[in-house]
Amino acid sequence: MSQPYHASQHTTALTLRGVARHFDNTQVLKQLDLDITEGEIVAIIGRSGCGKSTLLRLLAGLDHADDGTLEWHGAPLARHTRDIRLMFQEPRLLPWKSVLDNAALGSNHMVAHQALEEVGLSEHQQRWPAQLSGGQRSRVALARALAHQPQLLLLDEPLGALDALTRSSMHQLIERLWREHGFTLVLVTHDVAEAVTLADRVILLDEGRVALDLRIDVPRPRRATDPQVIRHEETLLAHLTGQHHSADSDRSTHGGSDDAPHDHYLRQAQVVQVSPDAIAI
Amino acid sequence: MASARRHPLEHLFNLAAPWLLPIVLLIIWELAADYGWISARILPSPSAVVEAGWRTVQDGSLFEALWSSTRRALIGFVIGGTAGLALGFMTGLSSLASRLLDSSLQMIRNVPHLALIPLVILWFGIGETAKIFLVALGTLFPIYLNTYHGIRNVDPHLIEMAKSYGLHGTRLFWNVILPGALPSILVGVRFALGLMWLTLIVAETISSTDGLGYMAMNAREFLQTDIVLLTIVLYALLGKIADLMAKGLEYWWLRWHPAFQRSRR
Repeated sequence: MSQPYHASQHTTALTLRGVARHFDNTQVLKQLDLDITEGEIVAIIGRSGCGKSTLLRLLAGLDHADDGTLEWHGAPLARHTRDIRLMFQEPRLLPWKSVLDNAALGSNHMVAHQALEEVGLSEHQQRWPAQLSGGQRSRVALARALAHQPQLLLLDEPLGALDALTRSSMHQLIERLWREHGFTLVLVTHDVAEAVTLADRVILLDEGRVALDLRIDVPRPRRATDPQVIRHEETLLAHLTGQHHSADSDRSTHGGSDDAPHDHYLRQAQVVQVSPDAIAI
Repeated sequence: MASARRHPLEHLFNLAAPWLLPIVLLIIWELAADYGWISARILPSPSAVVEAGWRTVQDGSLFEALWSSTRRALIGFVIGGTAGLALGFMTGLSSLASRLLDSSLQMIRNVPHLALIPLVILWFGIGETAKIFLVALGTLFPIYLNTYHGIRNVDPHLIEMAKSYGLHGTRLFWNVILPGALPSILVGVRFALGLMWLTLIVAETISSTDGLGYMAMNAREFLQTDIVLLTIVLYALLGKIADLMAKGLEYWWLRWHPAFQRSRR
């Protein structure tokens, strides 16, 4: 409510310089430079093994960089672990704690109760996680993160296991909470549509480097059928599949984006979208 | 829910089913003893066993024996269980302790603790200490083993999550590690309770001046088969009670567990 479009403030919150991380002999992140503005939603996409999850773990303080600096408002990120919360790929709820106690992990019942109300689960706070649906469990995990009032919220493909309808309502919920709380949000996903629907900026990682930094200036709430949204999805898919040169020439040949060849390309692109991980360049 | 819709007789049958076979066997046994098919010295009738039980209740010897045995069992169980739990926590939580202790403990575990009876008698004589020591030794290992494995098998993802949400040290232990290991620890407790009675019976049979084992051995000397049978029935009952108590603990502590929620419905 207070800061609907924080991105306009242009305060750099997160600064990454020359960040490198390798496991055994594999260089997962190579000299990565990245600036993230306060209050911005940034989606990080890329194929499997591009280093997107490693990057998120570094931001969450679960792992340490071999080289380079990570700063949060000018101070080392490691000093700000209290301001940063990660929502994991799986909800990771403690099965022996009630919904309320799970949401209150590391905080207290009062803020947890409020957070559960915000995600629409206040009626279920005395239940066990085993009694909840997949979408409800994700919302408990979200409430648990919110209860800590993070300045930086990190989401690691948290919606991957949910069905399409639940995902879409989770998108709306996340967007609403972002508007109300004004945190900076970094989201890792392999779903191009999710990235374009939610993010102010989409960063495409390839082999440990930023391959594309795309600003999404589409007014919210965004609809999947919005031609602007579709065009951004196309651009990203073209980069992901390594066809961006041909895609550019395709567009320049045929002009505008509303003609038949475009539709043909979109269909092609949507086929690819089903399993981007399976594609090798 | 479903049982309410069923025929009441069917419901009654389901409740009675586990008891049918024992009741039928008891009737056959009683008839066989009454008609003299079996000698009372080999197998006295159930009614004779009940009478013998009533006699020991009246002269107070039953409760005296029960109390001595239960006290020994519980003292041994508390000592052995505490030691097993403590060792399990140590090896489960610290890889140094695990490297130092686990292989030795596994080696000792494989020695049947009842094989130590001659040694225990040499060390402690035939007094109270020897019996309590044997019970403690018998209950230590199941609890140790299950505590260790329970802690080692706590989902590392949950531990990582809890740490990143600011839980460390004792808070991490009480909120994540202990509850995560609890199902396994309770399995150890149930095993230990079974071993507790087994060890005590053997220890009391060998040498005692009181307790259920003494009562049985004393009755053997006077050819009181009914009392011998009575003690066997009592051991069965005590074992069942111990198991029910362990189940009760599981029911309360693991009420979050999907398996227990299913059985509640």
